[in-house]
Amino acid sequence: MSLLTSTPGRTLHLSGPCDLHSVRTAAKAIRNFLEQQGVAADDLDAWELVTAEAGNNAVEYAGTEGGLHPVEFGIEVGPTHVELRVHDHTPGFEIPAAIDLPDPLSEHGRGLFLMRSLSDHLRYLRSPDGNCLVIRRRRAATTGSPPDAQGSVNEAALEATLQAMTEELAACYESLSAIFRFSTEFNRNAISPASVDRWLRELVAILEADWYLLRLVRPEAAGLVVYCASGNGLTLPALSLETPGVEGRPAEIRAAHSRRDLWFSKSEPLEPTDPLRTFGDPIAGLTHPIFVSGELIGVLTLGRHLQDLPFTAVQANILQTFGDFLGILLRNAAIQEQQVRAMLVTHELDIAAGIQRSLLPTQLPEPPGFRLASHSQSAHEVGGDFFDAIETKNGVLLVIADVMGKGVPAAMFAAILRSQIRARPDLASQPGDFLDWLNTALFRDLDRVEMFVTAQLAFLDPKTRELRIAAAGHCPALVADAQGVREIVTEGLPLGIAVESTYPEKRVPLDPNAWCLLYTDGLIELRNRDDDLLGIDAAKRWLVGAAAEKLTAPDARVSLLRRIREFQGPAYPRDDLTFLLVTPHAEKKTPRRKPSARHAI
Amino acid sequence: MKTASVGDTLRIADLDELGATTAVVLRNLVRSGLLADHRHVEIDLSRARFVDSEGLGALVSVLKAVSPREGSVRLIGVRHTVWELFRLTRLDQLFEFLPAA
Repeated sequence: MSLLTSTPGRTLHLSGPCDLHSVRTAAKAIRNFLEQQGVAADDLDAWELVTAEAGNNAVEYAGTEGGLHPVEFGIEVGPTHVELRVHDHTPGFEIPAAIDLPDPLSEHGRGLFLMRSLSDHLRYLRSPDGNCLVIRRRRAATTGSPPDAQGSVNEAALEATLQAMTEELAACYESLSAIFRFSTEFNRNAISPASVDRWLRELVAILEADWYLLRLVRPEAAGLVVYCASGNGLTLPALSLETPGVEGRPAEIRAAHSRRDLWFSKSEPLEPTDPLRTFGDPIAGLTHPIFVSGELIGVLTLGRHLQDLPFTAVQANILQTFGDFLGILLRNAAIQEQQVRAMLVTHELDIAAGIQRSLLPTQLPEPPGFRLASHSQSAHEVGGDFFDAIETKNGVLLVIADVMGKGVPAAMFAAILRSQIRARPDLASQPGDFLDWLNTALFRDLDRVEMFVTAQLAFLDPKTRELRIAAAGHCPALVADAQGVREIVTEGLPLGIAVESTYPEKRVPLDPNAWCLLYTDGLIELRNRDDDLLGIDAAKRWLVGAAAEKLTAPDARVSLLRRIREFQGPAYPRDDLTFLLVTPHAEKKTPRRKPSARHAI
Repeated sequence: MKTASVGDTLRIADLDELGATTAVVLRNLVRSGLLADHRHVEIDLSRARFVDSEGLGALVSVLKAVSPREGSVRLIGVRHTVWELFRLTRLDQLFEFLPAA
């Protein structure tokens, strides 16, 4: 039997191999310990027997696998009760409501009966990591006096008990009042390292300690990170929780892994490399792992300098109560923060989606001899695609753009782009110059946030039936006419890449049956279930087919969307997808009474 | 723990305790020491301060070994606290209790 942790206070922890001899040794050691604590002689016999019975069961039912684990005992002496905990690795059992004696001639089956008969409280806690038998027994009133001492009361012992009870009551009151005070404060103010620090400083004062260290579990660091601490503690690096084994590990890690309090003192010093040594040497203290609903939240350590005076059981109890209460507060705060953050994100996306919806034209112009159709969809709540069709005196400026980025920032830039474009109708008929101006106007803002915009401007002049196209790093427009289908490739860097960029224009004459497709890369980079790309050739084939069928603009839009859906199958769109289609339109020969009432900017 | 054969009685003495570890010894001792003409077993428990349920079980096994011979198990000098255990488990009815010599 090895004595793993012994608290020179009111608790004793023992651990030994899973055999009957070590159980016997533990029962004797516990008897001696209780005797030193002034427990009455009758109680000593009972505890020796109860320890043996509980330990023997743990050994007898351990099996091959369970027998590899030690049997552990913990005993705590309170003013009115003594409590024993025996940890076992057996398959476990249920304590029956009524424990009867076996047949008188049975050679087994009296252990549980004896434990029940000699205790006031018997509980069996089961868990996958091991079980724990908890046995509590009220202390006999006359401590230390032999039964034949003519009933004389040992006044000194009684006084000691009363003193301990008073101390515990006072401490309970102190800890309760502190908990109330701080819970009120935390209701008013958000939990922060500063507020928790204030609280723990008070705890340090209550427990007559010198320093504290609180580490919290941070999944991103896969370990325990200092949340707040006295003095040097703040500079301590994170501790990894993933290192296997406990031997030679820092006390905080050992406490976290074993789920038990860990005491240290001059006689039971920390490992030479333990970070807690930053608080001094020698030091004494207690490390308490904080669990909420079985989940490790953090580890709280309080300690004293330059003395080997450990905390009393009452003080340890207060530390545990405070630590666990703090754990619940921190856990609740974290949950609340997550909810608020999720709400903000949703709200942000709503705003962004709203901005984006408001940017797109609700009605497309109808230039003479042409019709327009458009479609825009987002892979996410908010996309970076943007298009516009702006009617001017001489024609229509078609704009299609893709802001690199998602969410609110991308939507904001799309909004800026739209207002910039709409601010300069004078530049509409010169797309190259327009892009040059836009790049100059937006470069600084885009560069600062490391974003850029690909854009294509195409001015449709219905009189000359000419399309003037310039592009800033955008996919080439497709034109299908009597000569076939071709890509209109124009050079130019995306907006926001280089401050001095030029955007050469191309002039494309449109014959009476010419079709034109402007699009974002989402169209040609569309992927199906087998991860195949739709590709530019498929887009060209569709355009030729639609032109041959002489579809109307709305029908052509539906046709392209059908083609997209057929290709994509049930796969979810991965990118934003936007297109703008220019189709020929045979004007009816009826004379117009009035010029178009459409408002031109 | 030592044994002595006196007439029809097997005497066992020097038991400092009768817990789970010594219970095994007692069972084996009786199994190997009980001769054909032994009817009774006397166990001196005057030194035993500690007895547990395994020890009680071993005593019951001794009882079962002698009962076909119409014999008895006599427990000598049982201490008060240990006797309380017999009373609690109602085994006080099965054994004969004799004062220490």
